[in-house]
Amino acid sequence: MEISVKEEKINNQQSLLLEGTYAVAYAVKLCRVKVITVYPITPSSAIAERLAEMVGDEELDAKYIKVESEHSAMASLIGASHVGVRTFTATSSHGLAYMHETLHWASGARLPIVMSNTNRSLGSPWSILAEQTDSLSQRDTGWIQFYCESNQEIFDTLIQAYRIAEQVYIPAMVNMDAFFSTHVLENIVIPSQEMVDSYLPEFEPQIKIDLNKPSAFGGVAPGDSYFEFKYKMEEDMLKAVDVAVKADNEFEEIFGRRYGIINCYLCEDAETILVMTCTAAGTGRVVIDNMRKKGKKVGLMKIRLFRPFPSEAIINVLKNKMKIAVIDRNISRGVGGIFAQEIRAAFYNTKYHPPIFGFIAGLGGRDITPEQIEKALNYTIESDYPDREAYWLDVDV
Amino acid sequence: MSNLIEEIRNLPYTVISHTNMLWNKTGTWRHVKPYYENKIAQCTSRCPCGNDIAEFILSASRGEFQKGYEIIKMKSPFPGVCGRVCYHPCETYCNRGEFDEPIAIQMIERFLADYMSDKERIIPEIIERKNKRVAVIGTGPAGFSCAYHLALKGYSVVLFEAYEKPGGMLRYGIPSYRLPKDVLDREIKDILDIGIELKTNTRLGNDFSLDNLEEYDAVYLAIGANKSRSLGLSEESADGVFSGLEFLERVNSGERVELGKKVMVVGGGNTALDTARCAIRCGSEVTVVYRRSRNEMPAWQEDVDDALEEGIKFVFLTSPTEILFEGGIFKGIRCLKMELGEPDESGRRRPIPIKDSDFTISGNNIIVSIGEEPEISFLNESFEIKDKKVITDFSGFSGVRKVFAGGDLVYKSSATVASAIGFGRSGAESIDFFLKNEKIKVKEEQKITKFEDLNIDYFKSAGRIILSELAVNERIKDFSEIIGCVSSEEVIYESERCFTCGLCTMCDNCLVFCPDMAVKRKDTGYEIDYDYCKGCSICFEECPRNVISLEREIKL
Repeated sequence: MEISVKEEKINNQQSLLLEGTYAVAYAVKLCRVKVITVYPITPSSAIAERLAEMVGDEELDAKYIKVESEHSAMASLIGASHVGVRTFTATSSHGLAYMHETLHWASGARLPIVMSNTNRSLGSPWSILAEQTDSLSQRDTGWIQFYCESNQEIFDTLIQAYRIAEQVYIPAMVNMDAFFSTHVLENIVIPSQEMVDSYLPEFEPQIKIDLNKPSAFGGVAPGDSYFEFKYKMEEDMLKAVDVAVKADNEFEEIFGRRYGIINCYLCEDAETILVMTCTAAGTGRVVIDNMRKKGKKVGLMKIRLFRPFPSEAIINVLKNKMKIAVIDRNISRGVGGIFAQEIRAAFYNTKYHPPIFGFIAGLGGRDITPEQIEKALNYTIESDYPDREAYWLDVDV
Repeated sequence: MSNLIEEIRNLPYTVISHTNMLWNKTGTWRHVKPYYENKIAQCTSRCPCGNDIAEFILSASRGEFQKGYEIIKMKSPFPGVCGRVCYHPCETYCNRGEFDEPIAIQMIERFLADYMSDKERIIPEIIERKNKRVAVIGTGPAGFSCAYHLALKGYSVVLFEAYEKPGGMLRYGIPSYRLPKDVLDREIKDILDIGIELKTNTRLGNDFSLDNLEEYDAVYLAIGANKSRSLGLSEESADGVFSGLEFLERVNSGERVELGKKVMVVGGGNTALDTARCAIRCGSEVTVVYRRSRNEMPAWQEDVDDALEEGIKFVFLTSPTEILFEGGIFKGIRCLKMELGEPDESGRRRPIPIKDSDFTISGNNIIVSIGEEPEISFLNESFEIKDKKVITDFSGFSGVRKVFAGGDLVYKSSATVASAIGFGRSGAESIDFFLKNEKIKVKEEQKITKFEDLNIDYFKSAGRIILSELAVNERIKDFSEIIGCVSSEEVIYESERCFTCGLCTMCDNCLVFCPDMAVKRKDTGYEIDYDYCKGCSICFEECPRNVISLEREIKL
């Protein structure tokens, strides 16, 4: 499950030096999105700006709606998606929080909207820097959620997100770190339009607004069917795990890159596994290499797909390990890091539970340093069981 | 269990209904009920003639000029006159004035009248001829307006005019640089064409008295105020000395009045200004002598500006005390300087003479224009008189059997053409009630649309049209009309600026915004389907022009 890159495929593709925000915009363009609504917010604004330029320069044939709030941005896409066109919006932090109500509606109405979210801290205190609590707070809204490490991964995941969302009729959110991703330049391989078209067919939903056949959407589900609709949604959401795996494999066939819904590094013979997400996972790999040199049997698992939660894949990797250390750049106050909680919950009904150590680090955009990561791993290796839900790195450990 | 799974698999993936929601009568939720109710635009509420301004401008904006003209003619027989001489309080109170600049309402009215001047104008058909006769005495704006409306109601009307030609102040008082005589003649002809009898050279008090009018079922007295007040100084009837009205009457009759080089006009009202501006057009140098300052002048400020532009000089805070002669020829006036004291009953500061401030102004003529009053010597003591004017009740009834009165003759009239036209119309209404033996009704107050009632989000800023005027040196050469004509394109532009306050233009905003699709478009307006209107009031909020009203609704 290592990152797979097939050189001969890559060679056919052009490459550009892009910030994460622009990577999103280029992906949206290649996906031939038809309606874009954005309300700008740092550090997501450049996505809106670049897309506005593309639409203004007629590089991208889309309707660009300037809205007065994120709530309206999503509400407008709900309308547009019902018409049966591909839609996109970008937001962050408070903007995402403001969308909350409409996020439920979009997923409930089974609209495969794709949104990029740049993970940014929520006030108060005020901060515009990286933290994942914004999107993780939206985990119960019924959206597919991806967490991306590199700008290339952001670019590729966005294209995959449409393919997955449109197969299961569930909206998808592609998350990335504020500034560490959004404002850092990276060489991005940009595939041709033909390649993307072959991967992503024109969006043709089974059910859409049809002027010749008037119908009402989102009406009252009488008491005897609301429950059933929710059951059906959950069934399809769970299916989305396999759909995501398949979409990743199909992506590799055309573009030569694959990421996995989870991604493992030196896990096979490892006794202790470090679980991380997004850009910090890159730092994690360096630490793993260093500790391996010191003879410590450690490995790293990066979680890329968070909703639906790929419990089976995660348990398969972690079940025979001695100990697990999860570093969360997020906090659900009162229970600790959210990834750690989710992994614990996934394990609960299995026979063997490796001890799961939760660590909090990097809130409000603070660097997650190699020293901190090593400290977390050493603490995990040296302790039998955790005595609390989460250790705050540099404070508790 | 498995049956249920089967059912779930058969569900569509999203909630969709091909039936409608008409069963859900959301009207039951309503506690506030919107309804369509046209209101009176603020301009109309201030129009002394009661013109339906928003309505005629709406027609003009659609290029329906004849329709616009006919809307005015429902209320006033004098669009060409008012389009020139009215002091347009409508524009002063135009709601658009609070937004950018008021609509040039007067210009639009004038355009409609001029547009129709060479077209076939429909003589209104009298639907029901009534077997009653009314004598209207005086053919100024009040008399003509009353006669016009009575004739439209089917009464036989006879107009009595003291002068050779009809029109009263419109003809003999207003100079033709403001109101060309052909415009007046045309509009008078249109009124008479309805079938009104006119007796000219028939002066009340000389040629007949009120007692001679027994054969008439009602009388409307509208003889105006056509006697100039005097300064109360001796020799006012001497050579070189004129009264304002006398001078205007001679000028307006086409007489070439010989004036000397230097002419003094005493007074600060509209007549004084008209007099001064006529005198400068006769080739004289003109100085206006007024006992208070510019702020207290009753004259219309625009006219004062025009007079200054034309080169008329003003000497303020000066009051004549003696008319000076030399060998029987007017030589000048002796004056006292004044200062302003406390406000008097008119609200203006009272002039107080300064002791020993005597000085002399020399000149060739003096024209005294310090105000006008009615000639009432022929009225018997049955009439109640105050300040030399007739007192009437709210309806215009004088208290004397079957005699109504209006215009400048009555106490507290405002001495404008438009107000006289308004007097005439309401007088006609009252006489109609009287002749039908009905109680005279007071008009119900209608709701007025003010600026704050509008939703100005729907209006774009657009500048008011600029009217062309004769250059000053051209103006004072003769009595040519000062303000030029405008094109139909300009009128449409200006009319389109109108907010159409309080009047539905069928803009569809209510229909577009109604979340329940309860608004239905009909040929001449909209209807609300109250089965579905849930009273959200969005239509009320989004109506740009305050056409929708709300009322509280109590349901049990």
